Amino acid sequence: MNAIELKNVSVVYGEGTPFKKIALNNINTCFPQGTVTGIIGHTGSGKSTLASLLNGLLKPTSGEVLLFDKSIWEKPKEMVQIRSQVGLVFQYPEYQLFDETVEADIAFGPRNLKLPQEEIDKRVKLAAEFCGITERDLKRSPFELSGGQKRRAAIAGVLAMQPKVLVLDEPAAGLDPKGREEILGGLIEYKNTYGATLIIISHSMEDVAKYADNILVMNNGEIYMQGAVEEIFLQAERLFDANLDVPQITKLFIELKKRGLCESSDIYTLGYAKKVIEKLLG
Amino acid sequence: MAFIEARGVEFAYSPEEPLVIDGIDVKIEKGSYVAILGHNGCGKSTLAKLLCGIVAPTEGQILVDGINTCDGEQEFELRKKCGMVFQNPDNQLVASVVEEDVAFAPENLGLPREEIRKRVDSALATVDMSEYAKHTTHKLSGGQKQRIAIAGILAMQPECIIFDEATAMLDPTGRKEIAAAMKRLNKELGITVVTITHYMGEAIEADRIIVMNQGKIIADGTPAEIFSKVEQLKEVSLAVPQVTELLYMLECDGYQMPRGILHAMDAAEVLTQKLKK
Repeated sequence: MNAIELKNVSVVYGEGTPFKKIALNNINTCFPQGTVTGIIGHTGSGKSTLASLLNGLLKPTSGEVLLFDKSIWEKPKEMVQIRSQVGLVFQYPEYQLFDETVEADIAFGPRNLKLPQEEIDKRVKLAAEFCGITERDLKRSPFELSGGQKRRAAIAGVLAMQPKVLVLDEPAAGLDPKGREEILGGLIEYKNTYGATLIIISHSMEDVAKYADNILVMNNGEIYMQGAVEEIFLQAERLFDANLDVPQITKLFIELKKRGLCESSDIYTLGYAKKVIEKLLG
Repeated sequence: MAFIEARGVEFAYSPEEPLVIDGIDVKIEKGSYVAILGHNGCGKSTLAKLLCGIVAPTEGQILVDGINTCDGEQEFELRKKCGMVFQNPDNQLVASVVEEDVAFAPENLGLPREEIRKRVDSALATVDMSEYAKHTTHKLSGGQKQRIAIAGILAMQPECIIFDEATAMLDPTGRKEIAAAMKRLNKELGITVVTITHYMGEAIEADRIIVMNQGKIIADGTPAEIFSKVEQLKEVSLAVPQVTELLYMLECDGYQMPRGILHAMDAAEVLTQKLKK
């Protein structure tokens, strides 16, 4: 079953002004339940516009956005319902922290769903666990935390809503490799626990290769490529044409294949690469 | 004489808090291209702010081209010598039109009109944003905004530019463009470039890499020297380029592999030699 489906979706910004821009042009795609989709594309390709369509933050100029087969714009008054099912994490979510303690900040969403206090506490605890926030940090002011901790606190605030679909715009941007691993690993754990659907916008081909099942490549407001991770990285040339990159390890294997030393070039994780080389070395 | 020199620098945000910078001595030569690597919270952004005098050290001193960064009277001289590009572009744009934003610094330096025009045009060309000169800044994408912020610094023509994760939000092309711009500023215009980054690909481009951990410098050398220390980098939560790690993993399994290979093509060369034997 598809968690989210887009049918003939177009978005035009500034219609009727000299700065009119077609941000998305006739998008047709779907995000199957329980999968991780990585959205890649260079700056201005329409990734963030696409993300804000998914929980009804932006209304498409034309076309339909379906959440579990129901159009999210059918009853605009029930949008709160949609928003509690689809969590959207913006770039740099740490700038949205506001409450006195991390705990209160994470509790803000569930509190607004008017859940009983017991349930709120339970959710806060769970969300904090997924994001690796300690008991001690929950009592601190979010503004005393480091950048990476703040990011985790902000994402915990969205996880506490227990969304079925989680859309994240560059969740690991600006973090060091360990920080990236902690955040993305926690999200995958959340997905596995609740059978949730993850949609992650990322510039990091290495991260997409490591965590995603499917890839959606955006270019000039259109879908340029979509498919399973290995299918996409196999078409390195097409990615280069769209000014995108493949993981460095894939580049190595493309070169080895060119030299006739290796048969396939759809290798994009280190563990697998090592196995292949060891087999070749005998 | 070094362009920037830090002597016994310590820094804490308040007396009760632990030292963020814990005894740093470093010299950065004029015209060099230096990358500072380190995990989040290791003190590298604080070091950058110290180096260009935005914050003053609690102990020790920092000289930029002979000017002590604590010397309030020479603050304007210092600002002209050393510019800084920050991580978040939204905190750095001041005007609503692109070319006005880039012109902000030269206007404040009181330069003649023609000179401002010239500098703005060339700065925008350097970051490949000329066609956006008349656009409004708030409608640009994150990467475009960041390029405008970089152009704003370029228009000041400082002798040194410090980039504090200035490419963190750009796509691979944008990152390459900025990396190329950094290289051009350094190699053609002789501007001293200090870049703080998590991207190994960017650090490789530098002539020298300084690795920080817990407020201290723990390694300092050429990219090849630094990246041959895979275990040490992993200990401080840093990654090495994928091919470097692959060769390291193979080495751990008993294969003889050279250290300090950073590029996919060099790794392909190494493996070709091994496989043909």
